Amino acid sequence: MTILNLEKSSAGGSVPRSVFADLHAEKLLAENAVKVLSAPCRKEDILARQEIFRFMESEAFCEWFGALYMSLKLLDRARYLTDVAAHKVEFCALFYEYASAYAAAVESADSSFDAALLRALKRQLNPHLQSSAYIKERLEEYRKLMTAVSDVGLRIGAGGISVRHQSDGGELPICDGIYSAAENIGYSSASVKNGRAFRMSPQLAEAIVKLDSELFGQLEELQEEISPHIDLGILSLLGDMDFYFEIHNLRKKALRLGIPSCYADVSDIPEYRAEGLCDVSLLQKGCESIVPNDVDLREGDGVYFVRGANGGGKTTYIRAAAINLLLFLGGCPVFAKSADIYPFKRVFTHFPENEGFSEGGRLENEVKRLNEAVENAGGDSFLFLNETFSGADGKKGAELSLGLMKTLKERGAFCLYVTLFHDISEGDIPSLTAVVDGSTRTYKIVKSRDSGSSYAADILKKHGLDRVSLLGRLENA
Amino acid sequence: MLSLLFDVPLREKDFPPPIAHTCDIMLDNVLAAVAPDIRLQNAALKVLCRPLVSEREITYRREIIEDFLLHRLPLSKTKELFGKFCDYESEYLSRKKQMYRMSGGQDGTAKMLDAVRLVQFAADTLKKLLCLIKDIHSLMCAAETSSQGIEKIARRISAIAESPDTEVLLKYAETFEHYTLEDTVQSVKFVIDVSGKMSRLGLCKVSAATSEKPESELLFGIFKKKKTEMTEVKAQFNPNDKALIMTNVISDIAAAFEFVINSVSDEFGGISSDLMFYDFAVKYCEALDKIGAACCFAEFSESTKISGLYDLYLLLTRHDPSTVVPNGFALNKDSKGIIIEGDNSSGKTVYLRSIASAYIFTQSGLPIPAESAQVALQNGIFLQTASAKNTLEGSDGIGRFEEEVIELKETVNSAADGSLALFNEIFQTTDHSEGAEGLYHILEYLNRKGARWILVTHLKRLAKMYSGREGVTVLQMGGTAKYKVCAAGDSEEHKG
Repeated sequence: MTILNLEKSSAGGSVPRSVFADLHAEKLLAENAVKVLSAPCRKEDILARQEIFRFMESEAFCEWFGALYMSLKLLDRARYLTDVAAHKVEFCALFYEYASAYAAAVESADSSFDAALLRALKRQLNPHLQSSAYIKERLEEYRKLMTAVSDVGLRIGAGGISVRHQSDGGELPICDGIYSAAENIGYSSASVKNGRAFRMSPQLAEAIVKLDSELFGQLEELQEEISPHIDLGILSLLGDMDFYFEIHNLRKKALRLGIPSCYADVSDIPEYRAEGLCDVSLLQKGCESIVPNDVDLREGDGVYFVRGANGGGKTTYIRAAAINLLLFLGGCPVFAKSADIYPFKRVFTHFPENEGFSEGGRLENEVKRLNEAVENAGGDSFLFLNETFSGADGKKGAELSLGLMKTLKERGAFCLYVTLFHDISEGDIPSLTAVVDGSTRTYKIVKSRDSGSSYAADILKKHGLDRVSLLGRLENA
Repeated sequence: MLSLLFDVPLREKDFPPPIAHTCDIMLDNVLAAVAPDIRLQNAALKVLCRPLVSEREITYRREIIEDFLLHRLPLSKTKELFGKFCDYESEYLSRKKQMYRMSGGQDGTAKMLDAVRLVQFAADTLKKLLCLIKDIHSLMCAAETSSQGIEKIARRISAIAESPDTEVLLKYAETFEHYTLEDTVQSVKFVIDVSGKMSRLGLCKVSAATSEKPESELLFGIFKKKKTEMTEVKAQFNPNDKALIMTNVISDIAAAFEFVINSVSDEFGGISSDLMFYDFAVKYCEALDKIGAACCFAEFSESTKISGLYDLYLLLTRHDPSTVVPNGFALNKDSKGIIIEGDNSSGKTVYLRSIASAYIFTQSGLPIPAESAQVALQNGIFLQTASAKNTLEGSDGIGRFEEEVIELKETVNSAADGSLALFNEIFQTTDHSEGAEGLYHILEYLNRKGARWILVTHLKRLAKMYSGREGVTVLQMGGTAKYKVCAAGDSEEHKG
């Protein structure tokens, strides 16, 4: 079962794991979300997921979604506990919880919210709903049997432990007698709770089963009847829901800091246009003020160098563009005021972090890796490059960079390339520049074409005891 | 929690702010002169710092003091018995703590034996506490007390001592006082919970080993079906089963005993410290009686009028108390404040001290050293005396004047309608003219909040500022006779 895609294996492409590492997205998002975002969606799925995220803005939907999540978690836990049950008594008791949790989870999944993915879920759910009704019916009988075996009495003496149905014909435990007498002389024990429970040994459990062998036999028969109707495939929804919650929470966190988000329109022509785009990965670093930037890349005008002073926000700019692109491709809201984005199928990044000592030299490796990327690049590809070829000298680096960008442009691919090479201006690839106002970095990236009273009175005033302050107090009282 | 100090226990927020700087009026010396026992002094000081504002509460204490003064209830025996509540509880807790300290990391059987020892301690303590309640009941039944406070305690003690449930608890305590697992059979029951665990484990009966035989008829589960045959299965031996089950059921019984121990101690434990205050009160009355000083409980009134008021400190510490000069004091309900002037060593501070003590003692339920007294209860009493102490010790580089201002700010913030502030020579450490000006506005502010004040001062300008002002009286110390107070216009100086 899934609530991620309208159809099975409907992914539009794949994003290499290195992309998430380059963008530090692994620190921003949990593993499950990264896994989902690794498979970019087709237009239909993007729109369907956006619909779910839109629903998540409503309290009623979140309540249902949260309840479903909880019931699935309970089912998962009950499944685990029955798997590790130490003996028959434990298994019999836990089986009831397990089967009940399954029936409850299936019923929880059936919602009245109308969204494409939820309709698809409902179709998958129908056979399970029938099973759930059957299970509930059989569990009623199961519960009665469990109740019948649950009251146990023990006689403990020098000769060992004997198990019997109930000790002393229902006599109160001494503890209760003490609390009751205390209550009668005015000491309420309402706040005293004894919720402790202890696992019993297999020997004790065996004696209990032997004592009520007939009833335990009936319980086993019921388990055999019920088990085939439990389909744990429903638990796969947990991972899907983790993804939705993860992104929803990220959005809420950003919103608290005044960072806007929106659902990008899915463009039919290759382009990436966004107004007020923010790099949310800065949230993970504790930044509370993030400077928004605009992105305007269109078909035929989608290849740009990003240049400017160190620390001017160049890397942040392309990271913002890349992370938001991944979010968009995963059907998530993007952190911008508005956006129109084409559902690119390939995303490639190259963010070298260290010099490296791998065989063949750094430059050689870079060239090799980029060649592979360029070979596969087309109008549905977006490349984000950060100081690539920095191992080469200025002239060689500029030459390689210009050659690379020219090829990408010819292939109709999109690329943002942060570079410090000066000689690239000789080519015809346009640039974006980090704006510096005097000596102050603005973190904006734009397209470039290039105070006589006395001592006592002072002290009194300082402590709010002068005439004016006192009158003020009276007025405010 | 029962209390001999309060008829209706007050919440912290219902108290006026506590009185600070009681040392400035020599209260610690007064307490030491009355009772050398430091515990009594502390108990008394604690009460004196939180004066009452309700006539009913003050009367509640006065009646109890009279019960003890007239020996309607023997104070020392009462103190001894109530003191045992805390003693027994702390003895139990200390034994428990000691036991746990010695039992770290033991195996199941050792833990079970620890649980047995713990239940024995708890049963023993509970038995002692219940017997103590019976002893107190006997003592109180024999006494002919008339105060509401003592009667209230006596009723509660009686309710417990005569309850059949107390006998039930005593029986349980006696059962477990010498509890042992040897030669006994334990009947335990539990319920299998939803996770297949044993829950609601409980020990139902302990019987002699000879009775270890199956019963012929048992009730079955929730259906209450009668079974015609005995059903019992012996479990295979597991060394941990007995230890786990018995440790838990016995510990639960010990916890139940402990619950009763704590409840009883919480309810009656505080009375012991309340009685310390009454011990002090009786000693205080006896001390005044011994020196032949006047002593009276003030009547409650809208205005304060005290005749023949003595300074307690001088009275209790002077070799010859008869040399102490009494003074009268009056503060009408319409009065806004009193300024007390006078030469050095004329007795201004002593006079202010005797007034402060009179209010504090009256509002704590105690009598005062005066011929007669009518006192208007104050909703908060504030004391501030000029002191060089902090300056000498150094305090964050601020001067003495600023220290006074900071202290005064607390009074200004806390004073409310019906409060009384007593100031002794404050604002002397700055320019007198500026000091008088500043203080004037503060006193005005207090008046506008409905508070009143008594000020001992050398600031002549302040007295002039208030000259002829309705509601403010200017008094002169030593004007007509040594250490005697009179209206400013009546003094020899003024007459001259």
